[in-house]
Amino acid sequence: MSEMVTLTIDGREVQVPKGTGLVEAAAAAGVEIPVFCHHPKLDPVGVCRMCLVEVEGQRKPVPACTTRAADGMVVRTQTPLIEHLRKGVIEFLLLNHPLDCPVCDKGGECPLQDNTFKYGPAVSRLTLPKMRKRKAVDLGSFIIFDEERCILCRRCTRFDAEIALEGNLVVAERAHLNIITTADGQTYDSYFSGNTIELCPVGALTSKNYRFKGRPWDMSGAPSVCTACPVGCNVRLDFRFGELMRVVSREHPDVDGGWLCDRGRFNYKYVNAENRITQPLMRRGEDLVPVSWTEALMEIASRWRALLRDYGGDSIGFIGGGRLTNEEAYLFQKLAREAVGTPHLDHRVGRQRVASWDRYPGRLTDIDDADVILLVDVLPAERMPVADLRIRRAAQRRGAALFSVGPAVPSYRVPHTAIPVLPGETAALLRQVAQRIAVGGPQDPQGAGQAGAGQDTAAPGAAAEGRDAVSALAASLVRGRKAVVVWSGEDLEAGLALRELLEAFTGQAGEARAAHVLIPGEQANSRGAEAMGVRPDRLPGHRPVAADAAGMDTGRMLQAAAQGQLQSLYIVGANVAETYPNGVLARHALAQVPFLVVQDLFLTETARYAHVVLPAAPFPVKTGTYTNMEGRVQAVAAAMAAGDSRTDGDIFVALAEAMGRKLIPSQQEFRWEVEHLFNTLGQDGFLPGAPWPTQTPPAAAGTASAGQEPAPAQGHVLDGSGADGAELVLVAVDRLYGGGGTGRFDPGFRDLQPKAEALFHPADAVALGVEPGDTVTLAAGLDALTLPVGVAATVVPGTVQVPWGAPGAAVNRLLAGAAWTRVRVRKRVLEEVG
Amino acid sequence: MKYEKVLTKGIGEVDLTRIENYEAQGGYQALRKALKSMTPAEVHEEVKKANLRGRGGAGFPAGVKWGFLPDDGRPRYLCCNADESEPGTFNNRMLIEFNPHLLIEGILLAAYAVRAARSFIYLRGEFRKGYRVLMDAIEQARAKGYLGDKILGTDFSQEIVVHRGAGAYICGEETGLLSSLEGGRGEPRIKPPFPAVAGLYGMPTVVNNVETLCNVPFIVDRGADWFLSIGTEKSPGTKIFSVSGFVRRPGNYELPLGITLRELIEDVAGGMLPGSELKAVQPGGASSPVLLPEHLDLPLDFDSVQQAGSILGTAGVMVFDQSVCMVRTALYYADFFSHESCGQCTPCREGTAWTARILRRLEHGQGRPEDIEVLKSLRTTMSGTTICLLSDFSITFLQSVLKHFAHEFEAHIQGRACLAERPREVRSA
Repeated sequence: MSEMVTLTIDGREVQVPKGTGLVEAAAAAGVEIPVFCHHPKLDPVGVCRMCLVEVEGQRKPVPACTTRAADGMVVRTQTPLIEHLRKGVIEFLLLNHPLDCPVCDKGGECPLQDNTFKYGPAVSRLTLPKMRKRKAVDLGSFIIFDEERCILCRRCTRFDAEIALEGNLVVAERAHLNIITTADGQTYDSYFSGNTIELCPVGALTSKNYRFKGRPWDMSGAPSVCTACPVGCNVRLDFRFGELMRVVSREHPDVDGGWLCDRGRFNYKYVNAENRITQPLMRRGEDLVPVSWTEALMEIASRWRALLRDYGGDSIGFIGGGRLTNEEAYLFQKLAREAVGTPHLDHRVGRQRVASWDRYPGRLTDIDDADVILLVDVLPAERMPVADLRIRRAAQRRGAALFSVGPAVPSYRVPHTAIPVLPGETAALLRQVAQRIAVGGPQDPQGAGQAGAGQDTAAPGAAAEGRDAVSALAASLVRGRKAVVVWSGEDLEAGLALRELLEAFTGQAGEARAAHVLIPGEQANSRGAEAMGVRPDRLPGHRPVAADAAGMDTGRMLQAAAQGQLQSLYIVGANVAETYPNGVLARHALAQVPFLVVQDLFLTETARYAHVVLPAAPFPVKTGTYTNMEGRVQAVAAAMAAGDSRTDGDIFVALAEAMGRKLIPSQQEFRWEVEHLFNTLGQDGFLPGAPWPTQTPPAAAGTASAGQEPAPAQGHVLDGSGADGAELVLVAVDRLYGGGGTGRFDPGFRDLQPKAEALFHPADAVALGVEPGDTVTLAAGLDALTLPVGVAATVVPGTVQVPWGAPGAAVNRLLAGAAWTRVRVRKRVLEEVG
Repeated sequence: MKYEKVLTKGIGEVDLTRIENYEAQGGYQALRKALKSMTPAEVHEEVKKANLRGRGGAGFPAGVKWGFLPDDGRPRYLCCNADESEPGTFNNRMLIEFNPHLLIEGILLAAYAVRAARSFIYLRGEFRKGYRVLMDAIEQARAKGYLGDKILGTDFSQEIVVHRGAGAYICGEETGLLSSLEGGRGEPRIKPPFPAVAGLYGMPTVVNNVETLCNVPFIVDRGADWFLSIGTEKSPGTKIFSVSGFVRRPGNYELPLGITLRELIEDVAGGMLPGSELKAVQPGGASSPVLLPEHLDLPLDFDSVQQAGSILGTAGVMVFDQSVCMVRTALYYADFFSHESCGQCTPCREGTAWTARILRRLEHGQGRPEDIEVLKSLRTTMSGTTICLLSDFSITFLQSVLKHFAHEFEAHIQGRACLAERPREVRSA
């Protein structure tokens, strides 16, 4: 409990914690102090001067936002002087403000409007023409800036400088020429730019998607949870006449802190997109033709019944589940296990092997007071953007030691130590650090840094520069009391090594240490699907399946389908053709399987192979719960009519019914069933992580490469001029805007998908004789990609980076299921004509 | 009347930019004396006792300011404010260009007294010659062992960093100066915390004006009692007055504080130009309200000028005759301040521009009666409502001429004519 102070505001005595700002203290006393520049999440700057109040003993009025409550302080906010000064500030702000409220997006929810009505003068005394500035300045991908409306409160630049910590926005020019702009005339490219629209107290920063599309009083808002990534930011969906018009933050302090990323905020137009499939489709020869729901469901039911009769239940495989609600995922596995009777089901459709871990449970708020933050094989901005804001702030404001280990280096403008490794070498490096901690002990951080030096020089992390970083990481873990690890959940060997590292960390003598592991799911509800038993080896609640009864995972199902051993695949909310890390196998399997049912919002690459396509409804239609990456269960209610599509859950129930089974006795009983499951599983609205590793060696549950232990990757650049080119290790990197039908089929978002390119380290580029502007062919196995060349110093030497989910460059074609793949790089030379 | 020159001694007679000439007239003796025989606290005590009031405009006692530094082990910094940009003021510039070693010695003594880890000179960017002179002087001082590691063989070490501004009046405000010195926009900061507690890079910092620091060597060398014997009781010491306008001999004059306006204009500056009649005087740069002929016998010290309704400020004394149009002058200043506002605070950003626009219309004969009311009303909404004092100072002259020369404004509106005589060529006497 912090120290309390008592002060008097407008004659009302109020007690607040010491250090509280006067704006907040007044609010506690029931007194409103109008503000423009002040925002509770940003450092006070006191520039708008709207919040001036009189404090007894002070010669001049003071800004309430920058003044801290003190014991015995006497504050007056409603004196004639203050009323006069407020009128003055409003008059100044409106002098050159265009007052185009009738066509302004902000009109109706505008603090400038509201404060003018409450505190402003009725008329302006300006008898000169208003000064003009530029209208509709294109700031970046999502934002149009109206310089005339701007009142220079600087909330946007402060957000950029204090929260996003990116340094994109600046104030330029002086005096009345002050202007918000980007540094060096660059575009405002940030994953978080949309937050500035919400922060803007006037209509200066507007959304390209939303501007001039509606008025606030026309909107009906519905609380929801974002399904774009596993953070689960709380949002409000604003509909106008049934059409989703915008997504805004609905602050949950422990989840999103009031911020959204631009994918969550702006990637919503797919919900009402015309290219969304809204009718079931059935294959007639080459074509997929619209059919009725009855026809589609009957077709599936009769085909599956025939398969059950002829081949048995285990001739059908179920793939997907990470995009479903918890309840839908539960129904999905129930449909598989009870109605169809197959053990083959898996929600994992990409590289991720585990989406949670019962050891070292962590919450997003653990980042806030961590001493050490370690990123393992993960780029947080790409996988869990809003949670990355916590990481950045912890590193910048509290000096938390931020380290990253992995084959791709995150780009931070906050203090950050990168330990780049080649793919497959993460585990070795983590073990090296674990050893140093064990040897070093808390009394000897220096020794801890040096203990492991000199051994295992094969790892690139052991190179001179890397050794320093490894020492620094070990030393930080010796000094630190609380460590948060963010891990991709992909390379299980790295997971095992991580366990050793954290055991060494928490096992140190002296003060107690706490370690927390956060795993961002590959799909928004991967963790929920995992907990609901959408795995061949797990039942709901992480209960193990008897070893002899376990089914096939995604990789094995695809392999079996490719070899004609599976008769049908049912793929729900997954585009395995593009996401499974063996694109050749996935596509082959989809083409081979005799009966393919795909359930999705869009006609994805995977759906194009289908015999029957079922149109699923988008998330605003659904009622249920999602489990975010920390295990938090968050409820959503339907906010929109389904139309001709149906929710995934309804489809599962209807499918079972078509097969003559009742999946749920009644809605009420189903709710009880799920509630009971949640209650036995979790506490306080959190679901526990999956026990891991299980009895079965992890490799057995692994990918198609199961059994073959990947040898350390050795990238070596051959002479690039040779006909054979060179061999490098392929690193497929996550991109927030890459992949997913929601991005690709969104008319407001599809142009922003990452550009397909092959990124090289400068030294490798020189060795290969390539430079930006050139084109290279990357070949592996049976497939090849031709990509433009990029060069970046952050690329680990010996690797080539290609973004996931870039349109027209499905990088999974080059992967063969293993954690890493070598590709042959060849420069493309245009043959001279003539 | 002849007064003893202190800070300006030797200027115009010998080349004081040569260190040997400076030493020859007693330069660096104070530094030697302090380092060899005085503790930092003793130096500080002497300056405090001398009641050396800040020469940058505010007149706050430097010794008291130094005493605000918390003794908490954090590094301390000393910043010399050499961003002289107040219109009508050019005394710091003379000291920098013609007596650079005095400034360096003053900085070293102050740095010694406050135990600064490092000293900075924030130099007005336009002072190109001053920059060359200072850099050269610093190298000369270093060569002689007055600057750098173990100065004069003692344990005292000090470096002086010269940072050139980029042309912003607001960087002469001490916290704006610090923001700019740190590499940010030159924007003043909210006080408290004062620079003494959280200044440059958040560390305890002293910011002193050039002329203030140039007084320190003499106080150390000759003692506080000597200093107190010059000037008035509450404003001891000399002050360099920068006199400009319709006088016979404009220029910098070092005089004891408390000299009367009449002495300054009539004796020192040679009186008004032939045909010129005294109309008004700004005693302390563009920010100061006007004094009138009735104030001719006003002693020019910090407190007397303030009691007369103006400020001594930078002692940039501007003398206006009957040809000066007050509307036009007010417009000139309004343009200046609306260009120099940093733009942070709403009243200043919007108010300075509005003022200038109204005055421009007035000056062009298109003013409206209500303009006067608007201009007068800004006195409350632009004063005491912003982070720094630029907003306040931007309208002090205007408010004073609205009061004393209201008829000129009315004439611009009603008769659409300027009452001032046609501006004449300024002749030198």
